[in-house]
Amino acid sequence: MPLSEGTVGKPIPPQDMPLKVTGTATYAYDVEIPGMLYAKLVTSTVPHAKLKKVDTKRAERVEGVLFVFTGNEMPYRVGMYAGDRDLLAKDKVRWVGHPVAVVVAESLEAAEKAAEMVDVEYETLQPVFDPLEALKEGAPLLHESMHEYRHAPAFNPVPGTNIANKFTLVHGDVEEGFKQSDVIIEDEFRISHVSHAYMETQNVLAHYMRDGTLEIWTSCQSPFIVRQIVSESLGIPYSKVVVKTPFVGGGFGGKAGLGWEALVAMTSKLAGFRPVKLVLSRKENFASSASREAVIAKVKAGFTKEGKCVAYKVTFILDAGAYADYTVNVSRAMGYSAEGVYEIPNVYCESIAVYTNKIPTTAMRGFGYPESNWVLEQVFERAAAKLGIDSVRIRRINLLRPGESHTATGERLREDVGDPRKVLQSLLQQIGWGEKPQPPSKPWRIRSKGFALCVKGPSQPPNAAASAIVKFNEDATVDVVVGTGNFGQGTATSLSQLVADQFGLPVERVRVDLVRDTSKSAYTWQTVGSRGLFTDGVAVLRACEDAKKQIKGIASQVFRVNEEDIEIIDGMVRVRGRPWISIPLKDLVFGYVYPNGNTVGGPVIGRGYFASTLNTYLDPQTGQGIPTIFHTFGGTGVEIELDPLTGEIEVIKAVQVFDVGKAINPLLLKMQLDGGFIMGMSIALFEKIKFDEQGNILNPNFTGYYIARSKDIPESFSCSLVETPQFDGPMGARGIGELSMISVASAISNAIFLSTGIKLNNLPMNPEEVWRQIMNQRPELVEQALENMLKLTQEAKVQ
Amino acid sequence: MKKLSFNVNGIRRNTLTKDNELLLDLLRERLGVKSVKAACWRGECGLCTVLFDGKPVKSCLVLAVEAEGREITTAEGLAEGERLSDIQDAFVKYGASQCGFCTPAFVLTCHYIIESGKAKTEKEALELLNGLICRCGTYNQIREALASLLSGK
Amino acid sequence: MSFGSPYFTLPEFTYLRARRIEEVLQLLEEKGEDARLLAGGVGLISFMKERLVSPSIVIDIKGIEELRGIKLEGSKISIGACTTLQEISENELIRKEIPALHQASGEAADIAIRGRATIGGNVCEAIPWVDMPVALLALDADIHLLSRRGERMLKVGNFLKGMLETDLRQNELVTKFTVPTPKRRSIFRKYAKGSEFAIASISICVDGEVRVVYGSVAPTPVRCKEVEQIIEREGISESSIRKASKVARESVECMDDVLASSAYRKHIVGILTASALKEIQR
Repeated sequence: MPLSEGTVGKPIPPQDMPLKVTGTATYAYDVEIPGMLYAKLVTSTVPHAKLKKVDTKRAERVEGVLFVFTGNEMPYRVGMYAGDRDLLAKDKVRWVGHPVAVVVAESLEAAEKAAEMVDVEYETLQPVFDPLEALKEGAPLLHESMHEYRHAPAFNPVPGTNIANKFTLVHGDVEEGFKQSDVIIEDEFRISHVSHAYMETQNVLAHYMRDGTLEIWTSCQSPFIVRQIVSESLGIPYSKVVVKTPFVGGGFGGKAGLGWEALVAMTSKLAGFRPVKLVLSRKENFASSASREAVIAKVKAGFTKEGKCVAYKVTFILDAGAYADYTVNVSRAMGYSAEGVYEIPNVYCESIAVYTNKIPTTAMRGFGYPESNWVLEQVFERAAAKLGIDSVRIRRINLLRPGESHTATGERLREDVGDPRKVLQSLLQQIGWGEKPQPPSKPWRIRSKGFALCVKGPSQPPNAAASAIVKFNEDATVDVVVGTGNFGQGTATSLSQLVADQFGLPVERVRVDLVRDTSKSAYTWQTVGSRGLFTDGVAVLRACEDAKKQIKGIASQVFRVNEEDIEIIDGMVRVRGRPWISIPLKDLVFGYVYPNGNTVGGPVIGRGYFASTLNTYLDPQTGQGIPTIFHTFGGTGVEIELDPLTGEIEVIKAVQVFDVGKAINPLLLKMQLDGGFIMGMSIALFEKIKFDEQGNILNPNFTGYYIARSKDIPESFSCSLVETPQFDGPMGARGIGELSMISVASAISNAIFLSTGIKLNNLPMNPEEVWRQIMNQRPELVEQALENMLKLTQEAKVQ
Repeated sequence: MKKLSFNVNGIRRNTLTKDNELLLDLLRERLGVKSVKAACWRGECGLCTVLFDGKPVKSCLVLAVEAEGREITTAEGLAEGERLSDIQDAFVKYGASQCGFCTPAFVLTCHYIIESGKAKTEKEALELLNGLICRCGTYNQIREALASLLSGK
Repeated sequence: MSFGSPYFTLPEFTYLRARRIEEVLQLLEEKGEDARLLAGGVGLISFMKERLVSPSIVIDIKGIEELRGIKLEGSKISIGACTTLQEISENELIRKEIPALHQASGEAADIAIRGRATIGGNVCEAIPWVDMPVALLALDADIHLLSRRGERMLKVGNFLKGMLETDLRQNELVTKFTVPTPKRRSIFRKYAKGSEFAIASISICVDGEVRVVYGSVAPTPVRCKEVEQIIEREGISESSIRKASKVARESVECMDDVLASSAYRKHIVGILTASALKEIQR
């Protein structure tokens, strides 16, 4: 195969796989430093209280214990967006699990023993767990000093209340829209707290050194934002904070933004500049780290009899928990994604993040979009049924039209953003829409199909940048330096393909460094929002251009032709039209050496960056503006079976269709689409963090908090790609990571609705919840199924 | 402290252990066998799986002293130098790993499934993986990797 | 009961490996409450990590040969207390003669846990959601207990007292379980979609006396006499199954916990009753 054919578009396995399958990839969990001490958190046992006293004396006497620190010794407030968090609880505790002290010991065993002996005295305050209650006047107030918090400019907290952020999206006149409507759909939806359940629990190893340098090893998504948070909150220059992130055992948004780094860093400093490691147990991770918020959504939508949606009014109330540093932005994204893939002329949306005395919340894969999608796509399905038009038609009528439509935030949709019509068409084809489903596996089960559409772009500050360095080595192999993290997306492999093709090199000759180190890696804002391949890809391609320019500069002197006449193909530098005049890259990338030793040029190092010139803050009153750098359109189709006997839903077939612009690596893409489906399905069917009446988590483990296992996956997965190139994307590509799970729950619920008329408004759709809804809405289905089973002559098994 | 002697990936390890030390901690913290991960520390996620005399066990539920005289195999031990075992190769080929944190446990369990002949079909094989969690959702790719070896047998 | 621990390490204890039953009995006599027996460790190590128990001595009994293995003893099948669930599920005699036990052991937990967990441990840990006690109760199995003061044998149903509570005395060791045969017409089924543990389970035996037992619905497995009577009276037919399903749903008291509500459990109990009877009818 000639190399000039390129590697982009080829299904190359991730380059780091040999390390992963042999277990030799290093994670922060694996890192140790000589002399390292062990930290253990002491956490609040009550949901809301004044901290009267934290007595550390007994704990300090435990053999092997060096120090016990409390909030008084760490007067720092941290955060990225809301800036609402103290390193350790100071005057108050705000949820069960709120860290009040940290024990430092020579061994984990000693630290654990001592943690039990820290005596905390509380003066309990009235807690508030329900966000609707928390919004009422006179509700217990969580954050009395909200007015002091240094929140980012994009947000609107309301001091004196429990509102961490209130986002409003308005365009057109929604009341006027309702007047024009023939049919109104009104309903309320609820979504439970979800755990990211990344397999590697949060862990940090920090070493505050005596020269003022702070070295941090952490399991995080975005080392540069960790550096920013630590530097800003502790008042250390950025260059003195070195954040290192090796392989990361999953993140899904839960390791973006604020983590435990600043706390462990200060602990290291106070512990006599010794390195200190903190690893959270799974229970601690559930109880003391942040999860995905719960949501209550109230919606009213108006449609004309032709099926045009002319009015959409929705309120999202986010149960943000005790701290909402990142959730303030989730509420914003949930709000401006309210209209999904549709163009709706009259919209009023409020999205409010509310503090309650529960676990803190943060970003999660999909970032508010799965939640808004859950409401919108079901409303459309139900409107179609009510109007007596089919599911496809109602969507076609309302679909955004690239080149013509304006999005929810008033952005004119460019021609090259992707093709939602083609996506829909392909999705219908893949799922066999209109064809009867296969007969069910058991005669009493109900087999059906459903689908839902989605769109998403990265929700980031307007100036969020990325950069890259492309360095040639003496043998014309290439080292690529970027900042985007590695937690399973395979972006590094895609980036190496982009670089390889720029120079006609075999992909094995390009190495993308996998360990992030803020002092050595190229800057990128964060690894979130499905942005890595897009932003860092653009930066890498620009760095390649820069390197090429340098190579051509050297070659033009050697060949004595103009730079424009030089081309780089198959690892050779040659004169256009005269391919016999050529030199291998390796003889140019460190300068060309003439036979007499004279040299022109030197080592080639290209640099490039990505920065958006389009994005704006959103108008605080109307939510209008340009919040994202691209939009990826797509959809999910499913064929499912509902067992009315038990309420269980089984997904038999999964179909994913996305307009990815360009599939740089179809294998990696398939891995994201299948994996995202499974995660989306697991959240849709099983996952819910449960609380008791005192705010304790009842299921801080994988027995009670069930995650899809191998036996739960669909029999078949298929995916189909639409490739409408994005003119400013790397080789036309756009992001996909989060997209793959956004519309999964909606597709499943729609399949149930279409076959049974049963409305499932609450997530998760676990067997008990579905059974309850069947009993409420169509109890005869259960009886019919039971009769059906009893009458069977052959084998009848419940599961 | 008790004297303890056992094999890890064919290499004799003589060490001392405390009675309350877990096999997981001995392997990871003191013998440097970092391929053994953990995510729940109570037998639910399966990430600390090692082969104990050839059979999968969850090392967070095994005392280190119980390993006396036994043969422990971990993911490092399946490969010979840079040459990967069949199941490791299949994992690479089918992309059966994303973040990679659960991968050693899946590789070991799949290796056991293939070697022991305990599963005849893909479905049976998937059932045998039930003790393990992959949050990235690579189960479909793992299924493909397993199937390629089941059909090859 | 909290399920989840902030701790990585175990409390301190002394580990002793026993080779002979006599050794164990001697130690138990001496140490009593301070000693705990370790077989598969699935229960004990979890409990220690949760700080539910903190014994000063842990006696490893799984090396004792007499406590392992499955054999025919006259008209009974005996299963050593330290026999693993995997061994039980792969045993030919059990598969043929006691399908309920074959099914309960084969579907329990996962391959790694089954390879370690023992039948004795599964019963003695006395938590509501495990599978083996449910089948053993339906099979009218006996548990054999030994101390230096003598041997005791009692029905598994009488041995289990409540959550984390059994009739085991501090000086006693469980040696084996015996199941009277024939028990070919027996079944175990559980419902565990979206759950690690069964939300509800059922075991039925209709060889000889009819016994219908439900698991995961109460602190210990419970028999349902009302259902048993229907089957005794009417045999297994479409109409008796219909009746039994309804009666089970109405009469089995079910608990509320983190896995499911009482109402849903009752519903599942009805469904499991119908489907298990349906299967046994074949």
